[in-house]
Amino acid sequence: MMEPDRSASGFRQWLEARLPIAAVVRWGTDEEIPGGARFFYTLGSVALFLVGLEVVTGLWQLLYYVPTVDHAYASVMYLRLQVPLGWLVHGLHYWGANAFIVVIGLHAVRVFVWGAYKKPRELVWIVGVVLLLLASAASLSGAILPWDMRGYWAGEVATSIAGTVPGVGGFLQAFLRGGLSMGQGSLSRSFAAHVGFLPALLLLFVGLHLAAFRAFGSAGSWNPAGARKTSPFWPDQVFKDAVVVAMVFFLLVCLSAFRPPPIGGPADPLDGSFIPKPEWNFLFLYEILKVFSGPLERIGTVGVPLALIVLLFSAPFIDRGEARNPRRRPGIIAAGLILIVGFVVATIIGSASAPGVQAPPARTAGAAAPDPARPRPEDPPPAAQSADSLESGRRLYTSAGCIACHTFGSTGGTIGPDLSFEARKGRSRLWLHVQIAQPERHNPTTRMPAARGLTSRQIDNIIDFILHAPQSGAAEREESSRAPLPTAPKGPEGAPSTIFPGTVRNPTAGVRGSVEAGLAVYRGECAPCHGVSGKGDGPASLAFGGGVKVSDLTAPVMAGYSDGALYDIISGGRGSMPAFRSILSETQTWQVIDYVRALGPSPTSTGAPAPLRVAPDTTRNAGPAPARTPAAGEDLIAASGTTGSPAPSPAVSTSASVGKGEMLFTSLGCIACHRINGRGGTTGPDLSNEGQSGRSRSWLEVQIVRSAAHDPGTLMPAYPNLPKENVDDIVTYLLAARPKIPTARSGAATPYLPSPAVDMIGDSRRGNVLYDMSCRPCHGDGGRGGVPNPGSFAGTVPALAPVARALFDADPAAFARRIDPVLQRGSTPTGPGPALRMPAFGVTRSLTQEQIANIEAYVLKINGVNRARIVNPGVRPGRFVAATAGLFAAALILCLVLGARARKGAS
Amino acid sequence: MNDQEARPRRDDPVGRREFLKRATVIIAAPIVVALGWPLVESLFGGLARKTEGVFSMVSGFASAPLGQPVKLHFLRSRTDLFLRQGVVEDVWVVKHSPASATVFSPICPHLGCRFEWVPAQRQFVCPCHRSVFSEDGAVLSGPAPRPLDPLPFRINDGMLWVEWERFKPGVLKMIRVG
Repeated sequence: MMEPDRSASGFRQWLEARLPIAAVVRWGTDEEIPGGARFFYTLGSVALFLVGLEVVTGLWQLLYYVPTVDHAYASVMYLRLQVPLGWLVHGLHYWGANAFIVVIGLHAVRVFVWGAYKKPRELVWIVGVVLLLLASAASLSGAILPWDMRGYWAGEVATSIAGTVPGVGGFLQAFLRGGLSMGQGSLSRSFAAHVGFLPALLLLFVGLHLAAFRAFGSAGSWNPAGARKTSPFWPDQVFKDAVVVAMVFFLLVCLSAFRPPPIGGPADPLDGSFIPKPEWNFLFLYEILKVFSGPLERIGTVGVPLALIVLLFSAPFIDRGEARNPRRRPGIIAAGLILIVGFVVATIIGSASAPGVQAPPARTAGAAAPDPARPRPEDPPPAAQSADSLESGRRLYTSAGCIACHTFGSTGGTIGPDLSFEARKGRSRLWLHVQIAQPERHNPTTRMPAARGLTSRQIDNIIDFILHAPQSGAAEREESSRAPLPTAPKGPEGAPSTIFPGTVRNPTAGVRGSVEAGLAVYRGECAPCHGVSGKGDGPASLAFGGGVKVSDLTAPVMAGYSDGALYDIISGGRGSMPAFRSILSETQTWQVIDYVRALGPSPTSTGAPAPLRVAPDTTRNAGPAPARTPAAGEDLIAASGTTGSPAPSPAVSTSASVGKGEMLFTSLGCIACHRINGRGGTTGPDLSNEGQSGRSRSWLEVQIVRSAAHDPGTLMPAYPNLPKENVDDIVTYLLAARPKIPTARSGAATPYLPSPAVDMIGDSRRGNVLYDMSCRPCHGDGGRGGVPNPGSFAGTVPALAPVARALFDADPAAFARRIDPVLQRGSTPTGPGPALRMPAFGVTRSLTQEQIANIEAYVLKINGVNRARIVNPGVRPGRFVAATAGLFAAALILCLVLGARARKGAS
Repeated sequence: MNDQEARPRRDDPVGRREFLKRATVIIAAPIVVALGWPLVESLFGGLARKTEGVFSMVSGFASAPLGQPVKLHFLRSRTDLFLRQGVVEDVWVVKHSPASATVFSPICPHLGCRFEWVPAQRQFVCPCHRSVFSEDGAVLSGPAPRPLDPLPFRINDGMLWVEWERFKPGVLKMIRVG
């Protein structure tokens, strides 16, 4: 057997005498295949090739990868973007792993159909099933290693599922995680499993599988007649194997080049808005899990996978008959077909379906498996959302206090998530119902209070409102620039009033205090351009340099506009005038109209100006302020009568008072609606700059004690029983407040140390989600801007697509470095009193660094720059594919030439 | 291994078998090349990459005395593969006026020791091999093959910004090594 080949060279003879290389090769290649070589039989060899590919590319990744939570993601992105051809090494590993699972799946199906697992090959099949399970484990542990969003949550969900195993679940979960929660322990264990334990086991079982295959030979054709003719494994079958392996390899190169593994964005345990979804090979389990809920959940998490594994293991023992021809064992083939079709269908449904629940999985040990297990009942028919229901829901949304924390459209707090786009999130009504009635069921540590005291019907109305109400938010502005406010007066069949502007009745006309309330709004929103006197001479108008004509509101022409027409202009904007729909409430808009009427000629009496007496005013606008003294009630006296002394009385402006005021501002709940220096809600105006607003102490006192005196329709509650000294403290605090966060502009002078976000390669799709929640209200849909910012010289919030030229850079890292300071520290637009300021998302920790990195990636993307661009490709992906294609084409031509010569020689 | 005898060579022409053997090798060759290429390239490519020039602000320049070499420190952001770390470096600065200065690398051009300023002699002296340099960096005595290495710098609004560089020691020419 071991005798050396006599025709071999001297060196080979020497070697053969010492190392049994030829024998090993012969053992691997000498094999007769009953029925001849077939392309169907190549799958096993392809799987073997892929094992080798995974081992080699995996080892190469170790040259750069570090398994620590703070550097794993950066190291993987370095390999992918900075190492020459690192993108290919990583891509081949990723796609090779996917292909491996596909190939051994197909291989198993082939073996099953051919009945090739029958005696004596039962254990070869079982070893193969073990290989499939090991490959799945490797795929899961490998997905965790980049420590990106997908990997992190895959690990979180998978270990949570392990936690549902009866009896030992809690222990198993902690064991897999290397601790109670996902962290360094989980990453280290995944790493050790993926590069140590699993490959060792995998190679061991591959060896067993091969040895058993060689020992029993190829099963070959099921047809005994056909099996009589045989052909040798080498070269007949190996040639076919090589052809298929070459095609698979070329496919992997193409996938790596044109469909690189997804950029997951850095792992962010705090980002509960991420919707985890498993890799394709676990989608069928994910879909099956949705069937089981409550006490049955364990059937889905443990029972079904276990049953499938047992079934796979026992297949050769169930199908014990002699016959291998599939036509002679229809029962088992049908059963197998059902399983396979079920797997494919569940996978397809799973890949298309939205997750049933978006709540972040519980992070405590022993917690139940998250989202996939929760039921998702059918939504009730659309008839449920009647106009009444929407209206009732709208009122409840405000009165039940949802609005204090949740923004909807353009108003509301930011303590909770923005609900403007809830309908697009694919959540079920039941989920929303539970979230409103028992939010702790979705997240045990939620801050959201349960809505006690609301009937089921009322909750349904709120859900109708959230899911179906038209909204006045920034996103909708583009789509329907003429859409009415949710609260706008409705014409017949709810048609927007703006269709019949002349017929609209001003609901606040003649209401006591309306003109005064209008004055307050006018000062803040209109006076910068139109001037305090309404002559169109406001400070901002001067900045336009005469290029834009600001209307004189006292001109006789104003009388030609009906109240409805003015409402349209104010809420929808006209020419250079921005739309105030998202800034002023409906009531405020009418009040401004009342005030504008008081300034100039009324629509009925053209020509004759209204009796206005101009009183001196020392507000920041420093122009003559109109005050309708004859008709002024006590509210107006309280509100604007003392504007002559805006400076706080020095006696009360002590630092102790400021400190007390700050405490009261928080403890009384002002902070829930009002923001100071980046902290607080956004339901009410930002008060960071109140000290410079020119408002008097008494105005502020009235606003706190009797807010309705300034605006009868205000959302702000009155605090009539608050002790006078407490009111004083709060007012002192408000007047002392100064913006503390350095803006990008002022920060530019000091050296800027890059934030962690700058070095992270964000995921632009995650960034898009986060953008919609945090940035879209101001920067508009897709960053196209156009959202009015009264009091700023620009008039609107800057667009992000295209971004200001000074910020743009074609180099992704440089681009990210330029926009990062703005996201981290915020900025204040130039202008006399911008209504909107860019918050300091990073400095205030409103967003995590990971989230900021994702948003930066999105901003780059909408400017045509890929944050994950391969910086140092070695060879560009397209070129590499072309080169590989060229190599294979040359090989093919060579084969054809060789084939033609062989044929000629034979004949 | 008794299939040696069972191998039926008679129904197939030897030409076809030989062709299949050669064709298998020919088809496998592009795989070896296309797979070996990234493995070699990712192993050896990019080893010689230098860090890009970044200026770091040096603290203490405003209060530094005129005409007197002082050792000033600065925090430099160093990128090591994917790690970005803050590293404190020092440089010798001779301030001529609030808007002009000379900046020397603190590393002796002889064999990489750190030299010191000896005020009494108004000379830079390297303790390792007694290389002596004048205030403007020229070699006065000792084995140093070249003058002290000046570093690129900028002065903006009275603040000094320095770009950190290292040069190969022991040779006449200044060859940047990082």
